[in-house]
Amino acid sequence: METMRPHRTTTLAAKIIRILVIALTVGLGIAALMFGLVLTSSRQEVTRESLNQEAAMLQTAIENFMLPGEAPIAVQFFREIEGANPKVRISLFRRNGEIAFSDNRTIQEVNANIRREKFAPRSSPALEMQMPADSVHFPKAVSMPPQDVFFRQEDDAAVYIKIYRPLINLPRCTACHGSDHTIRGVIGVQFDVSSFVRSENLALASGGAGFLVLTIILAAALGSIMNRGVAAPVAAIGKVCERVAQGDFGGVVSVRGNDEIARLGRQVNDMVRGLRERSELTKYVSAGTLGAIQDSQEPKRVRKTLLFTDVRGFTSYTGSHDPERVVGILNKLLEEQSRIIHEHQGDVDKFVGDEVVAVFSGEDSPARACSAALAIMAAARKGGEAYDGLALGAGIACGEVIQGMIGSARRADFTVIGASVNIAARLCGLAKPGQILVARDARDAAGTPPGFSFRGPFKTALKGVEGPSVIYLLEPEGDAS
Amino acid sequence: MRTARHVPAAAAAILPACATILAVLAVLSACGPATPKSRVPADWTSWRKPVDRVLNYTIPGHGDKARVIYVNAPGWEYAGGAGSGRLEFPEGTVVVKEIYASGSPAPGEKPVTLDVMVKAPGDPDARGGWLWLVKDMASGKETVITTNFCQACHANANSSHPYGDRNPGGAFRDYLYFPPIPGT
Repeated sequence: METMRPHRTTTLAAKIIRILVIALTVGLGIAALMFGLVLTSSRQEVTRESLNQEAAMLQTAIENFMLPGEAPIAVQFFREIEGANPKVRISLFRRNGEIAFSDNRTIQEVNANIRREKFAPRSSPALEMQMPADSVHFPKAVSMPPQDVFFRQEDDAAVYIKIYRPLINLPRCTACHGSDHTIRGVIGVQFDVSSFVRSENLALASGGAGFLVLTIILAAALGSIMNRGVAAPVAAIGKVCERVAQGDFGGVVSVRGNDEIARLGRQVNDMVRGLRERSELTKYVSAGTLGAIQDSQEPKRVRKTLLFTDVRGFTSYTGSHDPERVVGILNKLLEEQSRIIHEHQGDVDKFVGDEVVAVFSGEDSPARACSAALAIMAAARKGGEAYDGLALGAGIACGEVIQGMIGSARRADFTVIGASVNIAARLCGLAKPGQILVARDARDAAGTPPGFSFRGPFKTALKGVEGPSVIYLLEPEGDAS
Repeated sequence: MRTARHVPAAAAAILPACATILAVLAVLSACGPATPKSRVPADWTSWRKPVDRVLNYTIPGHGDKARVIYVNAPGWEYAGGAGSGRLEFPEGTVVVKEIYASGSPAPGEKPVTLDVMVKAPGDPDARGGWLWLVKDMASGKETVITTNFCQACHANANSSHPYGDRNPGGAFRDYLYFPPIPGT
């Protein structure tokens, strides 16, 4: 047994909007992310290259300044560069991380190496206010082989990109500095990239906001287009189908264009038109005829139960009443009979004036035909004055009949013919007002279902039937007792 | 009899599987990274030395470790005809500098590393036309130095310097302090 899980109903329009929002968010989000990454990467690359060139220039400068021992000129050079570009800070470290020129130790070592007091000790350090060496990155710069180290540093106020570039103790330096070490010191260049980072963040924030607005606008626009082009037409088709499910064939889908949905709308309209025509046709043609038209049934012998009813004294009634009233009363009677027959799974084969010919199929068709006849009689009695006191007679028979299209090429009915049809018609004609006469075969096949009983048997002669026929009078159970 | 019948059947089923696995492994191993070809010729000790003695005075970059320099035949051939002026060694020239563990290696002692210059101007890792690499003799691993450390030091050889003949004329000597010039 299939378990029905309750689930939240989501409209097609909502689903379309959701898909659009997801697609746009993912697509534009990836584009925005890529934009941000490229922006950041290119800025970092430019900064790195700029720092690298600046460090190379400073290295060359300090090497050339130091060869003649012009440390003060080198220091002044650093300060002037810093003055020209406030974002740049230059540091010079000894290989052990101490700030260069902070004391006279190097001067003393150089004088010792050249064995004369060429350089006089200073009373104050040449370089002041330098930042200390970074304990993590500085050792990398002075490891073997020495290498440039780039890194990023942040504090509460700013973001910096830094480079540590080792100064090699070149052979031409060894005359003053000795040959017992490979690295003389390290140049540190710090570049304040705070403004770049702020611009970058602003660009990313603007891009993100733009992405968000664009997503919303595109989702709204595309959603509206999709709603008008897809969701609304599908909903209109759904409404027509809902009306069809409720038995209303009056709905029509308004179709525009020639796309798949328009074609679907036309097909639904065609389908509804067909259903409407079929529904209308069932008022005039029996269900068996309709089935035969659809299935192209060949003539065949089948077992059926036939129920005939007609109005007693109808001919004299028609002569004494207005045609409108006659037709109105008769149609009410026929309508009620038709309804009851259908309730009992019977098929109204035809109306012949005031006569109704109904066919019942299946093993229990005799019982259903009897039950239908009793219900018709009860309805006629109950209607009373509404039917101008008209009463009905009924006949029921069952047996093998020939079923097929009977008539001409222009007009034909899918109906039944045979002895049982004739017997049922004769019994109907024989029945007095309110009576239901049942042939023996039908009575035997019907058994004794609750709610009705049979009186009889009676013997009677029926026109067209050889010898006496055994018949029964069908009554509601209460009347039979 | 049952065993005799079933063992060949099992073997027949396993053998193709084993063969398949071995074939896949063989293909995978063939597709894996090949062992890089050594850039340092194994016969460097048969080359001529531009300096006959062991260099063990202290210098930046090599410290006080003993050093022995070799230059291969193309280098010698070129330098022999170039005279004492500008030197630009041909592609294929290889200079090997043995670095020993101490300043006084024992007879027969092997170097711990080789500092090698390979003339290869077209190589993307070349600096100044030379590939600068270090070979660790224990592991055999060769490391190309991609920083400017080696080149920066050796650039001093292209002007007057404190080593060998000191390059008194300041000639361009293609980064070699001890070029293979007879008499230097």
